[in-house]
Amino acid sequence: MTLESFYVRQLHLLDAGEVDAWAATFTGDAVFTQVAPSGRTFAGGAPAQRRGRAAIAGALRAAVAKRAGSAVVRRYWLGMLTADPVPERLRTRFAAFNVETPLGGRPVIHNSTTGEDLLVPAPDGGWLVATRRITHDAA
Amino acid sequence: MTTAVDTGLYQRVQQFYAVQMRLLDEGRAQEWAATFTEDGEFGQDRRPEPRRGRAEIGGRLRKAADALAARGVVRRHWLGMLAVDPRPDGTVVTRYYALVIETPAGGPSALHLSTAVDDVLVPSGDAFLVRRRYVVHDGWTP
Repeated sequence: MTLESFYVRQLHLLDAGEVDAWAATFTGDAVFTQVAPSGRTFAGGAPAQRRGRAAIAGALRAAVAKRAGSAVVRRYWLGMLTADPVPERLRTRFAAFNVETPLGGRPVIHNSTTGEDLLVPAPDGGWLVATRRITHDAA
Repeated sequence: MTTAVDTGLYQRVQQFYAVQMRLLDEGRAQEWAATFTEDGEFGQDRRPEPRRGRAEIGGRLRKAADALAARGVVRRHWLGMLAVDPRPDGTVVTRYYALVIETPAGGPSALHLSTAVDDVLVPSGDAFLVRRRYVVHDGWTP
């Protein structure tokens, strides 16, 4: 699987609210950090830094539940992807934004971000995210 | 998740869509319809019945393109987040997102529509034909 395909599939799972399948693309001890504007809270009271696959999944599960009540469709777009090999790992950088469409409304770009991942090879030949740091442009 | 997609196939599918969406945005209805199989099917969540066959698919685009031209509006489809799944029977199943940017004469441009699309492609020479397409329009309400 190409690196680009890895990200596309991962974000399709995220947008579809497939929490467990999405969380399975992280290592068990992965760390996911969001650098967001001060005062920004996350659904379910999730911390900005989530340690471990269970905590990472929990934060998404809360966000999916919150959004289900609002009838807003959210889709992530990722691009500007670069990769640098580091020993037995891959350091990637990318830009991502999400488009939100309210029921009966026009889509808007909701949040523009940059991201930095450390990927490790997965047993199946793909990748797993060991660390992810997402920096919101608004931060 | 584990399907290995060869880079050559992925790039050919990307190229196919770049050509197909350009034909769509330029209102070239007959050429666009020819990127579907003869019995191609175009379904969407906001219409109960899919359009079937090149004549119907091309005919609808002709009307839509003429209506946009009459309003002096240009639409561009941006496609991304493309997942490509080759199947053992030779077909290629794809899923992608498309944003439509709309610009009236004199501007400004704005996002008009966000969609998610599932296609079944069949190989045709170096390119592909769409056998079946289903488009979900975000925010659509009956």
